[in-house]
Amino acid sequence: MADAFSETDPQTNTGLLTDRNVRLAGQVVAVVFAAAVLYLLYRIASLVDLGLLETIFPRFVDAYLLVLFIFVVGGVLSVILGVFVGLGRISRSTLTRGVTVGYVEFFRGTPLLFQLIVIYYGIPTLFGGPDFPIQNWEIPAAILGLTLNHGAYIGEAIRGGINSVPDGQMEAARSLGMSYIGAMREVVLPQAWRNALPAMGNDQVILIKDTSLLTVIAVPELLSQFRDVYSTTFDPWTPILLVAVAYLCLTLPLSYVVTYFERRASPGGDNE
Amino acid sequence: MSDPQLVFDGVNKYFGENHVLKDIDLDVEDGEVVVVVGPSGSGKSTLLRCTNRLEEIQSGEIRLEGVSLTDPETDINLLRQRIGMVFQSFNLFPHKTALQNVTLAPRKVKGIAADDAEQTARDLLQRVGLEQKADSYPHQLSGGQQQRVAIARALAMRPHVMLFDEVTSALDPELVGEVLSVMRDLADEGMTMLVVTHEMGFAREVGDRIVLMADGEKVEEAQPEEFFENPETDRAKQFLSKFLEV
Amino acid sequence: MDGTSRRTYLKGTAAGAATLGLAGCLGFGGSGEDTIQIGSDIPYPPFEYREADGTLVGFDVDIAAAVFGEQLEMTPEFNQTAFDGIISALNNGNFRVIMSAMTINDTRAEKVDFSDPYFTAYQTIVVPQNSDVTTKEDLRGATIGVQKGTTGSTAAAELKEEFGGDLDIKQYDLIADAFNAILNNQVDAIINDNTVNAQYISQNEDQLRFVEGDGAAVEQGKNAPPYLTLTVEEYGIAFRQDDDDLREQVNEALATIRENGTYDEIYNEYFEG
Repeated sequence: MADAFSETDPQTNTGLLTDRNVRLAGQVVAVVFAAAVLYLLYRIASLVDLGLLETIFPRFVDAYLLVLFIFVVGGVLSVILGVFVGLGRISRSTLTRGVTVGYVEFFRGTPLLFQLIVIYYGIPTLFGGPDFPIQNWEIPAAILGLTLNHGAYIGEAIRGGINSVPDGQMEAARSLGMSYIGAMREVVLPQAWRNALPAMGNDQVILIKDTSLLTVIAVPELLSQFRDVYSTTFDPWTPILLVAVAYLCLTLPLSYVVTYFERRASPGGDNE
Repeated sequence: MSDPQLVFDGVNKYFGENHVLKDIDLDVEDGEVVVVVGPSGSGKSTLLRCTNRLEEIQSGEIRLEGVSLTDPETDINLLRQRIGMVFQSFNLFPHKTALQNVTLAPRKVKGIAADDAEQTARDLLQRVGLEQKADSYPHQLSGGQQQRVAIARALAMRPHVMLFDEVTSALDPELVGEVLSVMRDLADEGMTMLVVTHEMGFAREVGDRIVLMADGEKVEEAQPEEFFENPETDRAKQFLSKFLEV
Repeated sequence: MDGTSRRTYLKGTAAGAATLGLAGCLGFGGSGEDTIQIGSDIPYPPFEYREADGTLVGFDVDIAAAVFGEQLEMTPEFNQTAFDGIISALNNGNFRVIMSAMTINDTRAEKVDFSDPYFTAYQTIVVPQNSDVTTKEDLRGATIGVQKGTTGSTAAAELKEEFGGDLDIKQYDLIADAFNAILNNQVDAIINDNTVNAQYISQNEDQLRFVEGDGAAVEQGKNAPPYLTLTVEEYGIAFRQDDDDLREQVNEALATIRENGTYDEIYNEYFEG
């Protein structure tokens, strides 16, 4: 019988893509990428105007706080709305389910930018035009648009979360005499929540970045500040740096918060 | 003479085209332990699930203590409080401790105060031999322990009837005994039980009546002695012969 | 094609003078197939905007047709660009020149070179018909709508400084958005070029009006419209700073069309007197 384990046999089934080579290739790419980034940062650093940085810093802080405010309010509202949307999606009533599906399809199927423009420019025209009662409509419009849009995505995430809870959980709860809503609230939703957290966390990070679209409805957020500074000074990198740092100061803490919630909601963790 | 506690009257059920329960008539008296056996697909689990309306029947009636389960006027949540069910896959709530699993329904459905519910729960956990595990989460318990907690959870609502749906089928053999032991104690205390199982030893020793189901029909019904020693129908003989082959 | 119908019309009336001009400033091999990309923020009526059927029209469009089309025998093509990034886009090579009702000023002159001025404009203030605002001072504490990156935006910023910060400014991507906003009670006033303001006001005479009064134009002795003017400005065509040859040719072409009456014709078509 032929010796099948000779060490001198070439690896015929992987060719060049041996484990070792693949790992090496990954490392090479990583080094090249890191080097490129470092080089860019070095070039950028020499272009940054510290004097300008100091002057424009306060307005970027204001913009950051505004985005934070819109994000917190819009985020909370979209999650609350999402719970109702998720429940509506699985309702046994065809009417409820149909309406919910229609809502989700519209807000996921049209661009957020379009929705924001419709709300900001369209709604006042419907309700009085020059007599429209809300003078600073851009912030409520922003929150409304973001909430409606992300409510649809969160709704789908929660629906997925609910569907991944075993049927037996609802059956057991109802067998004990709990109502549908009671069973949902005490047994299914807490588990669905845990399942849906990664998708929800993802969506909220996207919400933060979506605030950049608010520039077209005259909200003085981060991107608007950048455009204003750039169009008057023609210095891109100084404000770019501030914008990048500001967004990271929003998305990174959010990631930590989501991880914290995920850990808390995992089985064995204290959930009440 | 009053109605038996649990009555199945001409019950028919279809899954689509499939006729899974064919004209089932069955009475369960107060305090009786009725064991339902039969091959897979015979409809025995379905019968159980129709008893607390986890499944709907198409014709016939199921009555608990004279109240029709299928009447639209009936408050099914109220009725379900009187029927306890234990599942093959335990279905404990994973995000709650054993104690919390047992106290949840009494507190949220019956509005019982937290302290009282906890006291009752601890008593029940002790009764099933798990008072030490009150603060453990389901994933920290063995299968047999989880199933015993499930029994305690069902008992916490003080049901009049207990339904057991192949509750030991998913357990390792060594863990089956502890669960059956709890069920026997329950029977001795006079609980009305409708038990679907493959455990013939239990059926023989604890059952007051054995019901054999096959292909959606009730094939034979007899006291354990008669059923195991002197089966009447061929179907019953065929079924029992499989068990003796081991 | 954009501007083709106008080209034909103008050619018919200015044929004679155009031939003379051509002889002088032709430097491109004269095939007439050279396309020149022009960056512009559309819509900005009456300088560049689209009619309902999509045809591009406007003062800048016609001037471009006369200068680049007829005089320099190129085919002008307008590229839609957001105004607040238009200079960077020019310097990045996205197009050859900017014709977008662009005011000549020192800050911009650091980044681009301008042609000779081809239009004079004034920053004016638009308010709703029933507004209480009749002077500049009345704007204290009000909300102003402007377009991002424009000299109107700068004028509003200066006004805010004058008021010690007592002014709220909302910046819009398009000037049309700002007018939408004033019609939706989102801003109390708009600061923008007078001719563009006049265009929107004429379409909304019941709702909007100018703030009247004397201002910068009168101070500088210019032939101003009867509205309050905050600044006096001149439009120029913007070139990259290394594009001197083309710029000189364009200056010559501008001079030519002023002399031969083409400019006046185009002017009178869009602006009365």
